[in-house]
Amino acid sequence: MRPVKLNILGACKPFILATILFSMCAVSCKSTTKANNEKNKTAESLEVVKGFFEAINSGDMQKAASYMADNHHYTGPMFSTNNPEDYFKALGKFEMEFAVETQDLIGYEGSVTHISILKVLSPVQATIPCCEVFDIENGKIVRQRFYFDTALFPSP
Amino acid sequence: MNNTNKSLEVVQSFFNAINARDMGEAASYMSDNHEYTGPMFSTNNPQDYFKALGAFEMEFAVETQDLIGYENSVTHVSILKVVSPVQANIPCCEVFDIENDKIVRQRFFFDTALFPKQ
Repeated sequence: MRPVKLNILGACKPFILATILFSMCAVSCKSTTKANNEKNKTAESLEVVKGFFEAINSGDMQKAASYMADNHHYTGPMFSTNNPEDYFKALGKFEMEFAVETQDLIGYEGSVTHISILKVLSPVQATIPCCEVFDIENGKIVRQRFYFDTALFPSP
Repeated sequence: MNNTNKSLEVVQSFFNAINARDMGEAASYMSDNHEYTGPMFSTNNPQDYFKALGAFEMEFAVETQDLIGYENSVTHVSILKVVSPVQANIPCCEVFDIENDKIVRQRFFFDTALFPKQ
């Protein structure tokens, strides 16, 4: 009786190859999905901040508030607040007409850096370089950190 | 290493050098045409930047709170801690532009009202 030679490795080759190919595809698909998720989150965060400033510049504070979370937390050199109502109340106290001119909008996932010129239009004029860092969660601004030099801010 | 990670590494190393008071090392992360704009001075090259910084005659440290990077841009949120001759904690934000692994632009934002009078 002739012995039967079993080439297990040879027999398994197609299976091993298929497994490797499948694993490579799975890893590749996973990283593509992750990259797409990051891209989508970044795009959403940028849209939120853009929408917020468009509303601010058109004087529609209700619309601006719709981009903010109920626990919106603002810190800046002149005041700090913990909800949208207090934020707009504090903003309204300045009794000034102003516009925000965006210079750069840089986003990564839930973070957006907004570099701008704050233009005080009336009753006096001033041009103030500013930087704001936004944290976005579930399509809403949860934290807004504002940086500028108050020395450039017009006296009331 | 992708662009974002490289940019973050450049800024992190820059601040490590600043905090170690190794201005020669810090300068190695800046391009020759490094442009700085801030509320107290602006410069167009690393030499002028360190000269202007040195004029303050203060000991300080930079405490990083957030480092957010995307490709060639890095946002550095920090507390500038003036250690001596007086103490002060100043919330700051800096935005860096990185090209060819060097800082080409650095925009600094803070409230000078919090800065100790000399």
